[in-house]
Amino acid sequence: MTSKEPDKSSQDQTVRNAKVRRNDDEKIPVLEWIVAMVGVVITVIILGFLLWDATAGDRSPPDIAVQVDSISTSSSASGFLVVFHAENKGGTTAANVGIAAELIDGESSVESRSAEIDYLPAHSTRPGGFFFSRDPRSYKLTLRSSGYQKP
Amino acid sequence: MNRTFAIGLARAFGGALVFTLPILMTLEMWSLGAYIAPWRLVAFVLATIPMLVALAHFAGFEKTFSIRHAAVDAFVAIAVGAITAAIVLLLLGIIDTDASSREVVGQLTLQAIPGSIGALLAQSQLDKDADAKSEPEPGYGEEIFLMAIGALFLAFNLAPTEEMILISFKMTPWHAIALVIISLIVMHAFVYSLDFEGETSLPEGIPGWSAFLRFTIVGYAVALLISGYMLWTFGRLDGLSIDLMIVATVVLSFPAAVGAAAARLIL
Repeated sequence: MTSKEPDKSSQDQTVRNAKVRRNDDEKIPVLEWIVAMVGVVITVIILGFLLWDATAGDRSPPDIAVQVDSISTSSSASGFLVVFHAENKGGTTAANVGIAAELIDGESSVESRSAEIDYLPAHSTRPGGFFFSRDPRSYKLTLRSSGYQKP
Repeated sequence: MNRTFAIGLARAFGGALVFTLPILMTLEMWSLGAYIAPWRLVAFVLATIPMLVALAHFAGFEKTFSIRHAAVDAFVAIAVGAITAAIVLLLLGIIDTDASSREVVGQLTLQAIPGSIGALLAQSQLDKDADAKSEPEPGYGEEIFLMAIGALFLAFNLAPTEEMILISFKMTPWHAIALVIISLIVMHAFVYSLDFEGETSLPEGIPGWSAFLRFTIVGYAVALLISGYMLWTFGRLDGLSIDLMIVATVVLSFPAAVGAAAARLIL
């Protein structure tokens, strides 16, 4: 290990010249410095972003909204599928997020389902689905989050 | 000639085993084969092949001097990686008749990659003396490439696990900032120790900041890019907000940076 630069000269010469060449920054190829600058830029961007996030970032508690994406029109082997997505509008990640779904006929609940989402990170969404044995289109469908844990 | 190749092949299988057993025995890697986005897997494999050819050129299990030779070595390594993965996964009962073909193919493709890296590295790991006399001094590009291999290697062990994102959920941005700084310090300690090991002429020569900029920072940037790419390939960044993506990348970059810096010492 004598040199970090590509070297066309012979091994012996490399050894002999190592000290001289290393002393002289002019001999380090411009490309190496360009690569170094790209590295600096990437690292500074990451650090800058983290600093901004640490000082001005959102630290609010989880705020979970659940929305229906689609309801299947026909019953499959597992029933009527309701596809939903849960969105965490808060600035803190929630774990083991409970999602509760209910079919309501007038005042009374006719069918209820629950699902759990492992992680619902801050300002992120996760999809999921419920199977109902009754057609959700004939009832009032409500979806909400029942709770979460700190990861 | 054939005997040399047979010994090289046996070494390759040994290397593939040593390097992939932790990955083969990781829960998340089994299900990843089933749920990884197919075109991400294809992109990953396409990116891996030229990397393996380059690695074969530097550290193959046959002495390779031409690109054609290196390409042959790379594909032998892929075969070794795939066969190793198939045997181990069958042996452990992870691949069975219940699994779909897509799942099995996805699993084997994914697992063959670290196996083939291990197969190629086996030469430089187990046969250091033979290499030492004939190998030319690594150039700058080659050194950065070796750092990338080291980063890829450690990242591969950890990127699929749930812990990577779980850790990033537990951390505050301040933790992440501290982790970036610690990663850089640890990396520079490796870089520094290499630059001064057996190079008596160096201490008076290079200013510390020069090695820091050209190796430590560049190596760290490489670790960040590889970590981000691995997490994305394994679907770990899906649905995350940008700040959590960055924290998760910084988390994986810590081991990747150590792998990158250590690669210059080991390989």
